[in-house]
Amino acid sequence: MQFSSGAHAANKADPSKGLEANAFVNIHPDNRVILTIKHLEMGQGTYTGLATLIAEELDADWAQIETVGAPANPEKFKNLLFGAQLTGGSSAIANSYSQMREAGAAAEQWQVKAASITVKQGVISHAASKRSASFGDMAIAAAKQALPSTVSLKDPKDFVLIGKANLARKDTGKTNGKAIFTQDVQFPNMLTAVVAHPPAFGASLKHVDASKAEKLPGVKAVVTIPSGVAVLADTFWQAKKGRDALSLEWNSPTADISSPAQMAEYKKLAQTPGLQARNDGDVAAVLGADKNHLIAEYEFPYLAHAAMEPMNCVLQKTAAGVEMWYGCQGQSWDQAAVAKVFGLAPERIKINTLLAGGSFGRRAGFTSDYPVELANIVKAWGKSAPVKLVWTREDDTQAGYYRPAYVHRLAASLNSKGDITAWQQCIVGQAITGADAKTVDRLSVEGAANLPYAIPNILVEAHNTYNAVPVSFWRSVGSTHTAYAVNLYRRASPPRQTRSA
Amino acid sequence: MAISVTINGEQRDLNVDPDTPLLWVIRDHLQLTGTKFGCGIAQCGACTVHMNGTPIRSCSMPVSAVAGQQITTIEAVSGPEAEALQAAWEELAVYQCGYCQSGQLMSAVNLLKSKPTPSDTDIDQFMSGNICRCATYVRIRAGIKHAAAQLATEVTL
Ligand code: FES
Ligand code: FES
Repeated sequence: MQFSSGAHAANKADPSKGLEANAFVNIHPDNRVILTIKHLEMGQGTYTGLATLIAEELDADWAQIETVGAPANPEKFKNLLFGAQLTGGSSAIANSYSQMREAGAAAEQWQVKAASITVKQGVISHAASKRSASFGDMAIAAAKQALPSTVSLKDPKDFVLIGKANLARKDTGKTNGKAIFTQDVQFPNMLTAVVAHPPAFGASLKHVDASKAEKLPGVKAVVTIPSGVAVLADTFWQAKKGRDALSLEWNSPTADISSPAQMAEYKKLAQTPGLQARNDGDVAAVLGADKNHLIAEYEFPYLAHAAMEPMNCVLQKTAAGVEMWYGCQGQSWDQAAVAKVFGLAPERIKINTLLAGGSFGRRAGFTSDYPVELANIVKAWGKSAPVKLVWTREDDTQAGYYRPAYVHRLAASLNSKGDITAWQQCIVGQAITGADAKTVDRLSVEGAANLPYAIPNILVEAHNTYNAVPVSFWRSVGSTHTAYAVNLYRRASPPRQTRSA
Repeated sequence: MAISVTINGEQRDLNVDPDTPLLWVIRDHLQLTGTKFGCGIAQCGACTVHMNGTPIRSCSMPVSAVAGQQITTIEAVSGPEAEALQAAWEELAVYQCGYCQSGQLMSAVNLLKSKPTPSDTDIDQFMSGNICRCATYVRIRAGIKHAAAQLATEVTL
């Protein structure tokens, strides 16, 4: 199986391969225009969105555009808003809008210098001589030219692609089984790894007896890693049967956690002063003077991402370092984390970014948990065949990196006109950023601290809590609970007359 | 143990454990990766294939149980219903991440074969075993109706 890495052939040395105009645009002599898309395609349509921006300025024909995911290379492919190669925050178009248009414009001007030439739908025409050529016709000649020093962008009134609905999708192969997700990566000598994880958060391995598993057909190795015990076999089913045959003993978790006890603790905390995320005016005075103010508490459970494709990853030790293939959402983070496991420099971790079968934030995380798990497996195993880590649905659900559980406590006061005069919100839960007990976690309070309503007195507080349940981004992050609580409360709080807030 | 299964019209003699689910035979042994693994317990529909033309969940069917049967996967599904549905899926941009869509299409082919003009309720009932975590259900419905309409005009022409 071939994967295009997105790092196109160095055709400045070999112009016969066509024009590698820049990190994003590659024009082949066969007239295909291959665009490297720096954001992970996980169903949000970014292959189509970013391709639209480039194709617009390139004046390419939409049908000649193909896309490929960008490999890990933060210098070339970083998110301009975050300074790291990372897909998130609904920022793909926002951070790339000018960058992608400039990449398209540069590639066009590289091929076409004279002002008397026009380009439309992938055809380069010279009206005076009635000559025309395709991009492919010009690709080899253009590859020998020097880079244009300046580019000019189109006037938005001349857009033919941007803003148009119903462009054919560029994340193709999703109706005929041809699209390649991590789960679909195959190499001739590849092994599949299935891992036995501790049965509770905070539990650890006491003893493993792998003698039965090791005798099963196809099982090649059993290795102990920090996150559990991995069985490596020729196929998934053999690896899973190997895992089922392990005899395991676990140390009890360091602390007991239960949802009811946690909610009770959170509700108590919500009644105490927390870290101030916003403090306008004097909420205490206004609420204190209003005996009728309504107090409401909202409980939010942990939420699993449950992407349709359970977490998985492919990794191989190579002479140059490490090569990986998967739906990578945070290349900068994963590169650094995997490099640390192997004691290598981050740039020696080559990541090929594939399509992801959903993510909803799961594939980007501060700990790079599943790539690191696979790195530990391969390191412990010590051989150089590629290994595919496959989590079962049960693994995926139990492993966590949940949206944290929260309690929100809200109180507000209305004046005789029904306007909200004071608003107090206290949010209790784990800090996704891992903020310490003295620091407001901005992700816990987003959507609350920036409440857009004109209320003179606003107090938003937070308590960070700590336990062994792993938490992370979940799509739209803080607003999944803050916006919900705010709007439930606004509906619950009876207006005395009218509501103008 | 050798088991013989006909997959996409080709007889394959497989040397696998008889309890290996058909899904993993298709994916790991035959390297046909269009059929997806979502849950492994017949709860999501991502692994749907046809056995003698009927949709089954390949993750929960031991390969020994399909010996001698005709299995069709997304790579080889054909006929007017399949083609109309695949075209509708592209035209209406039905899919998002796409991971569930092989299974959605395999189920939808059977729906249109048994009910050429399904109502919303027919669609919801027939397709209820196919989960889409991206929640493309509204467009799946529209895609099925679009394909049904296309097929109806082809028939009357
Ligand atoms: S993988 Fe078979 S139904 Fe989910
Ligand atoms: S398109 Fe993503 S799960 Fe259905």
